[in-house]
Amino acid sequence: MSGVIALMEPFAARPSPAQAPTDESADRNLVRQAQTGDLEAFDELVVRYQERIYALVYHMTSNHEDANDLAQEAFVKAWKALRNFKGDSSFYTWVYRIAVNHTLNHLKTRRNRTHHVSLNDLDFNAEHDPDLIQLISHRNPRRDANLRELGERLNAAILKLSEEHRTVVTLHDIQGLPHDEIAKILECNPGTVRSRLFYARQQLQAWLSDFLS
Amino acid sequence: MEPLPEDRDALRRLLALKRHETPPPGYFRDFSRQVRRRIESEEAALVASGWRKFLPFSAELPVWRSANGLIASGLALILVGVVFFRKQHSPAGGGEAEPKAAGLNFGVTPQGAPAATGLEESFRLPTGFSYRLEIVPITSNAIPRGLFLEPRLAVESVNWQR
Repeated sequence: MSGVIALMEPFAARPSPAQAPTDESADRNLVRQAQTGDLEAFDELVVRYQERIYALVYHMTSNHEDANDLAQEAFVKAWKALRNFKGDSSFYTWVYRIAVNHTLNHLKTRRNRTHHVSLNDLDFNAEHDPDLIQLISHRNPRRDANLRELGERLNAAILKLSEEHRTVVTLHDIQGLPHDEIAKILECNPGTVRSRLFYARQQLQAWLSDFLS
Repeated sequence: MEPLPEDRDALRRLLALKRHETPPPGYFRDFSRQVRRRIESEEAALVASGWRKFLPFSAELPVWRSANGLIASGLALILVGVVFFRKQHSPAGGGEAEPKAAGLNFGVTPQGAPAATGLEESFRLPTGFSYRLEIVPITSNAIPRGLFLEPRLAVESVNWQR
């Protein structure tokens, strides 16, 4: 393999925020308090999941402003629906489901809108990743490879995917959620998740072939 | 076509790069506060819309759109209720619980009118009018009956004859 990705082989991927352990019993207590109308308790839940929900929405929309609005709206929806939350799933899965559905609805209503990659609004922190810097400086024959361009190409390819495919790629390959968890969030079979993931990866490999081979 | 395992691994690594995309520093410091502000403003809007459903005409009047309008309407309702209640139970209202007239009652009573209860003294004048002084014990703070009654004089036509 050649190209940027080949040189990144030893690069240990940063653990995804979704993989961070969550204290479910603390969540349950906070949910119980919030169900009685305690906004402070709900604030605590928002703080716990804000980064993951924001990241999920951002990777599905590739737009900071949309991600900001949609993530906040997802939490507002969660607050409104909290009294009906029976605790059949974890709060984490439930709030993820709300955010995914809300974002998919948004994408469907704005399907014709021109998407733009808003990396200018974001810090592409991979440039500062010590492992990556080391790899590029020591082993990369294309050391001038523009990581920003790489990021933009990547986002453009992800945006070409259908919403369903983009969702599973975001949840699995970017956020690191297991198939079963994604199936719970999307309320479908794990087999459907695997199938969507397979087709999504095929398309991405075709669009990013110059980076991969 | 099944992708090559090495390509698949490379793609996974490439996608993992996206985890480095983060919002501007300090972005999440204010996030929960913004969510809370949205919740509070939506709940306030919900309460206002509930009132609008309850009082459909209120949407037409700008004064009802504010909380002050609601407070003012509440106070007005209370005031009307108090006035109505007092009117129902006041002595002049003719209600069942009419308190007994109290204090001194000076009045001009036409002849043949039924006498009031209590201690009373009548004076008959040569002109034919009778004045009645009624003294009743004070049993309440109600306004004495007849306090604001203007004495009415019966005027009879006079025929002057030479």
